[in-house]
Amino acid sequence: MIEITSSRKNSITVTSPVLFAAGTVGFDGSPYRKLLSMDKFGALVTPPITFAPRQPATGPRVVPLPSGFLMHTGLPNPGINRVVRDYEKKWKRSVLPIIVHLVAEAPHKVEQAVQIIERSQVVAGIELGVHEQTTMRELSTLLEAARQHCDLPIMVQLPLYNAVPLGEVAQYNGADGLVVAAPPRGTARDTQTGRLIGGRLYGPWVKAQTLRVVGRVVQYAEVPVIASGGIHTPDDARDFLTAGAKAVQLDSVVWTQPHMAEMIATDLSGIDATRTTRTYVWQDDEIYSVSIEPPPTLPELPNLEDVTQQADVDAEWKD
Amino acid sequence: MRETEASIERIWRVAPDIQRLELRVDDALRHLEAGQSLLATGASYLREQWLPVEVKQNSLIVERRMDSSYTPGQTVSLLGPIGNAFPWIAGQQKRLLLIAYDTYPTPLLLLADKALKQSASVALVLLSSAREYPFSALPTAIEVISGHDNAVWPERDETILWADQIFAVTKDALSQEYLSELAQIVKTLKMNLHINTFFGVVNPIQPCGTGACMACMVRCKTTNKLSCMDGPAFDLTEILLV
Repeated sequence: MIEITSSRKNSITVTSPVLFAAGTVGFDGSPYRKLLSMDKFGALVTPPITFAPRQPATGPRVVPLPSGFLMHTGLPNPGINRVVRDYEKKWKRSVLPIIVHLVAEAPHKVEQAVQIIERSQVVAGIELGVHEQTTMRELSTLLEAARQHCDLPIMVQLPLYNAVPLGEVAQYNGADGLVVAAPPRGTARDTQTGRLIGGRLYGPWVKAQTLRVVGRVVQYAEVPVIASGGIHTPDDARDFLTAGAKAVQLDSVVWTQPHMAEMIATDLSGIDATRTTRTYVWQDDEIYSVSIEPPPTLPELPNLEDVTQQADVDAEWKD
Repeated sequence: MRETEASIERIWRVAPDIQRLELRVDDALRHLEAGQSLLATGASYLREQWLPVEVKQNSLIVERRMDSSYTPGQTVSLLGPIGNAFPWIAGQQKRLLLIAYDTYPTPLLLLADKALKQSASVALVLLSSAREYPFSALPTAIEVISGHDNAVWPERDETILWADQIFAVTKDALSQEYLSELAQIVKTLKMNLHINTFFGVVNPIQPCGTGACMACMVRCKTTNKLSCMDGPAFDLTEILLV
């Protein structure tokens, strides 16, 4: 058994270090029940859920890229109340522990949403999705709000490019685990409509960047680190475990190569190493010789409302 | 929904930018209905949506743009079937109006083929860039009407009133601008939009095809629906038009 959150009364233990990343198999795994052996995986993270219902984005949502794709769904979901009501019974019967991915909006919404999740008594833990422009102060306020009435383990899904400083803040403010990282954001032109679309990026190229960040976060992390980003082979996954991650999350590989996703889970769940490359030792000296830096003083970023207003001004840069 | 393998038996070009592939497929895919599609591994990272235009006893024929190259004997991984059959009402005297607006009519061709085999009358309207689609690639029994750059074509009102059911495929179906334009015309002519009369075919890029990624969600008046699970045809009385 692998403990993927810090050791305490309600910590999450899984049988496989390979988990489904947020939104990859739906709210209860049913879209993949016929395609994958769910019991080979460690846990299921739900799609991002907000406090209130959200509608899907309008216009094109997917832009294929040379080595991956960009996706902007608008995080459609019926809101936490409805999701818990609709899926509570299915989660109870689930062979996998259910981790609810909660979008970290305003602190008061997080506080209320966490209470709704905890009341359901069928959820193993919460993954708090943090916006990439969240400041350290905002993150500590969000975690304080989440922690106030919640005994469930709370993991924080960090934005890739701010993961190192925000991870440290999350850990010192009660996070039970760090998920490194959310898919990075980008902008690409949709060839059909000619519009620029902002969204999250997926593909094998994300792995190299995520691996570097995971290597830095595990240097100071006193809570388990779960790696997520660009994993497409068992060796990719094993690289993250070698770097110090306790578990990995699979994202777009589940959609494009379901068979490979199962192969990764089967391979990583066993003790036998079937690595196709010979290297088991990390040779990137930079990662292990890196000194633990004090939390850098970041310039104060604009708060989320200002950012939203700015985004509205430039209608073409839809995100 | 299954993940299977198929081999490409034959490839031929039907127009300078369109090719057709004959696939030998798993038994489960030999009963594909009009409207259902497949997600196939190709040169790009995301699976390509393959739209069948003909179902034979032992094989499927799909239509692809020439921007991808394939070789006979090549094996591809297929995920499918994706989506549901078009809710068309079969019958001898049925009159089916198909509209392709600024996109090729490929998603509608299997429906046309099946309807013709059941002695229905089929008219196909090609609007805007859809007019570039080669007539030679269409069944001869279809009445093809070449329209203009907007939602105007010869004897438009008569053809709309003639049809028992209308299926429209449009460019950028998720933004629904084209569908709204067509719906407005039908609404005016037929006094209103009636259930089971006018369907919009929404076939956006689908990263998963299983309903997990939610990239193909269509806004509806009641509960939102997914093109890959509930579509690809949506009754225009049901969806929220812009």
